[in-house]
Amino acid sequence: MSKMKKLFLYSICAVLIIFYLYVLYLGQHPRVGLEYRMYYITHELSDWPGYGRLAYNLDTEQICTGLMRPDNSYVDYTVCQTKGQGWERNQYTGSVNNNTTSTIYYIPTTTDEKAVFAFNIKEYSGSGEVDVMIGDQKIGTFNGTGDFAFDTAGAVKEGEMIKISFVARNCSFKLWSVCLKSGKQVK
Amino acid sequence: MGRRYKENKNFRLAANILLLFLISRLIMVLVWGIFDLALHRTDTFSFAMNEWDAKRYWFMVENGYTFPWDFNPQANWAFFPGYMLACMGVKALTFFKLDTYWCGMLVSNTCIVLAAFWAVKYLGLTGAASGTQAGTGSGAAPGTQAAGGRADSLRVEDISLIHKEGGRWHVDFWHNNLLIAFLMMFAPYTFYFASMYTESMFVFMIVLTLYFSKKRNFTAAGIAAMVASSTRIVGCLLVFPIIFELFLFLQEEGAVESGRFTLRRGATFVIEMLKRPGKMINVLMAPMGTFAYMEFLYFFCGDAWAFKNVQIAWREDHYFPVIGVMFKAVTNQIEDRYTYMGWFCVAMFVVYFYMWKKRRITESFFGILSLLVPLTSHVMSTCRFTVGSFVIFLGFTDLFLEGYKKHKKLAFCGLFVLFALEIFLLFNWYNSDAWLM
Repeated sequence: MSKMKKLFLYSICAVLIIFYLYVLYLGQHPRVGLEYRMYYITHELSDWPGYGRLAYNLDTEQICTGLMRPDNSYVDYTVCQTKGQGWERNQYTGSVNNNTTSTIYYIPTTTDEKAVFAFNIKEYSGSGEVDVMIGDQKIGTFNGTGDFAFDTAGAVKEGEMIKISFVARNCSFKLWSVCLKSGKQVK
Repeated sequence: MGRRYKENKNFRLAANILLLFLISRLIMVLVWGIFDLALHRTDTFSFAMNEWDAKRYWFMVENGYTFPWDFNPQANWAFFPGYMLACMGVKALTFFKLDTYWCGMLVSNTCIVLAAFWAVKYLGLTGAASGTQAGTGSGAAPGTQAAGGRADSLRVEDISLIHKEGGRWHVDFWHNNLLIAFLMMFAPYTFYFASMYTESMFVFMIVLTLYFSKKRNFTAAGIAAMVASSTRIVGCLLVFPIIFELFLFLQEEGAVESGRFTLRRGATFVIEMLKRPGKMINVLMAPMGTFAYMEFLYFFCGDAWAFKNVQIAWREDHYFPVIGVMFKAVTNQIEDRYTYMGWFCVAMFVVYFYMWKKRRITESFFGILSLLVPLTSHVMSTCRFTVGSFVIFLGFTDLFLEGYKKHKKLAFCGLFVLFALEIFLLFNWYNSDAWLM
């Protein structure tokens, strides 16, 4: 084999290796949206909300079921598809916590210092309580069924993701509906 | 034509394989007819034959890759493009007139006929467990026979599925390597090869990789492996059979000391490979299909690993890879169908270890690896993946030929049981059974 041919073949090898390393580098640096990253890569979201669907308009009531009924027909109300981890998979009649901490994510489209987080608990069992947190800050506690509304303590800011956590101690609950109500709406 | 049949080995082999193929497909059509009549269904053959993922391939051939819908995160990026591109090519050749399902079935069936043809030729090179078809003499272990010999051991007069002897007609696939073609057409789960699934194209590429590696045509083997890796991720694993055969090749050349693999011989092999850039390219070509697809995905959806990451949309249950998956499956902790698949995998591992014992090292190593990859997450679809890895057919061919030497009737019964199982599965396939998903 001539020297030139050998050199040519070695350069093809080098090109292939560089190409593979380049693709692996691309693989380490995905160029994706937040929803994609949180559902497909980090698995922080338990349901796929759709591209750009973490964005939330205040006062939109969302029901915490899946998109489909048991008979595979689609529901006709707005579904909360931004739930994180800590929920049972079967959610036909509401979302039941399956862990100590169960989460919901939002990216509000407007800032509202006086917004409240309102929700409905359909079923409750156990002797303990549930702390409701926004980020690391506790905003309220509940230990039964009914409607609840807690002040968001100025956490609702346009374009900033908020993480609402239900930290359960010795209890189980079924969340039916959630809504971030604007201060205007609360008055 | 008659003269050509008598004298031309490849022509004769192709004719016999086509006969097997036609019989098998005729049976598939008959079972579909019986199914439709018995259950009062009106599904067309192409619709009934193309269940589950076939419908996704149909969509992809029609529309290409798409983004996940808001209500369904199961993006089609999980499916590699090789097979889809082949179907698109066939559709384009027909000026987009031929129905997409039929395009897919045309690609699949053509691939499996070609795969069976090369599989018989591969057995001619490597020999079978019976020793009757050994490339360099009978009695030697099947995997080792090709090391020194590149000639196909098949004799033209042997290649005949049906022949007359003593005034009686005989069906014979025991003395002509046609048994592997029979298994590829009639064994359980081979109906996937007739439908719009990647399996048949993947099998074809595996057979070509193994065949050309044995023939010491590593460029052709590398190209086949490259196409395989653009068809399924497991295709990347074909670098191992190529490297293994290169190791044997360098031993034949005297560049690496003869004998079993040791660290010292391994180091010599690496050094010798570095001196041969042409052979390095052959190895490096193998995963090219997957890497090209990854780059496409990066520019399409921003994530080069999208084909892997998208799996979360199918399965949310997580187990410890392989051991955890197998334990949960065989102890019936997931679902009944997965218990069955768990035990199916156990049986396949046994066959692969049998192949290893019979010195089919390259093939069994590839078989084990190709089964371990899906088992890192789940046992789902492992029956399909197993037939789609091809090497299991070599294992069963060896088993049956060895069995035939001891108990002819038992071997025939075994083949009949496999055929009956295929009919049973085919009936369930037409019935959209989730066990075959």
